[in-house]
Amino acid sequence: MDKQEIVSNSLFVIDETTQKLIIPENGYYEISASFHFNPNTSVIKFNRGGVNFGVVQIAEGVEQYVAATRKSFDQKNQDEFSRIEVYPTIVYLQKDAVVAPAISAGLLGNVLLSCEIGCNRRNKNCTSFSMNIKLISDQDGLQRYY
Amino acid sequence: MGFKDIIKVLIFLVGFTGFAQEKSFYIRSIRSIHLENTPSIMQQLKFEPVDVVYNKITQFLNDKITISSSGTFEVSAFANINPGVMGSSSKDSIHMELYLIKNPQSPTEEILGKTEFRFSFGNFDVAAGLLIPPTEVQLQKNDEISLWVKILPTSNIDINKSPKYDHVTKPTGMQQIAGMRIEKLL
Repeated sequence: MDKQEIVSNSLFVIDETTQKLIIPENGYYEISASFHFNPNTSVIKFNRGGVNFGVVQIAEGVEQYVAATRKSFDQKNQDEFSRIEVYPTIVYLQKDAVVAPAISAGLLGNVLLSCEIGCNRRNKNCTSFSMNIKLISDQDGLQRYY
Repeated sequence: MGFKDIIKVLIFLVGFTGFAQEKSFYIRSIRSIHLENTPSIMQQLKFEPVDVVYNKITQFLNDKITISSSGTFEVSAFANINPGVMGSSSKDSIHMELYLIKNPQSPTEEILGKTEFRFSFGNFDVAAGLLIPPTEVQLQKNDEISLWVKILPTSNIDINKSPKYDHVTKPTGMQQIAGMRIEKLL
């Protein structure tokens, strides 16, 4: 992603050298995201098609989804764009955790070769990906599981 | 027309202004949940006190989530469900609904949100996210909010009937099982 694609930011320190989004302080954060995704395949029909979409944190060497959803693809949607929403999720994050959007193969019967995040050429007012992270409380907390 | 013209990526990164704590509630299960193979019967997905992540607007007592003061709220929920069977034909299907319900089994019962998912052949043993999108609702003080699943009678095969199998579960590769969010808007 390009830095020009940031619509609004009063949370992260971002300059020319920034490569990662680093959580600035301990607190409760509300995270949501939206993906426009096309598996672009013919191999899911009558086969397994579970894909994970969300936002991960990378902290202390561990990468895990802190807000995520599971999309199940089958013959009806394996060859078209679907809108996949991660609705607002509240999590406690610690200072210095890195957050990033992520997609992962959950349980697939076959390899997806040409899947894409994007939009149909005719669809000019389509957002292919969006993410919103908001600090909602600086109260102390602890969250070992997501 | 370039690639950039048709692809828009939006990122909102919002910091904390002032010291107000947002008036919200978020709970998620940290354990998987068993469902009975009983089509048409409502089955509650129960939470426990340890599941509460953030709470400024409800009371959670005796397994019940109740609203602390009346107002306008936004509610949403999800459950990741895996029927845990194989199926034998492409005509097989399993239909389920997820409900957010106010004051269940009382005269003031109301469905606040509902979603349906149809599992198809090939994906009967793959978890799927059932999502209730954010919806604006009016709630009164002491209204109880809960999450329910119903297997529809239009399903033509059974879900996994082993009492040891938990259908509401972590999908492969992610930790999330089921959750609910309530935000006070006004």
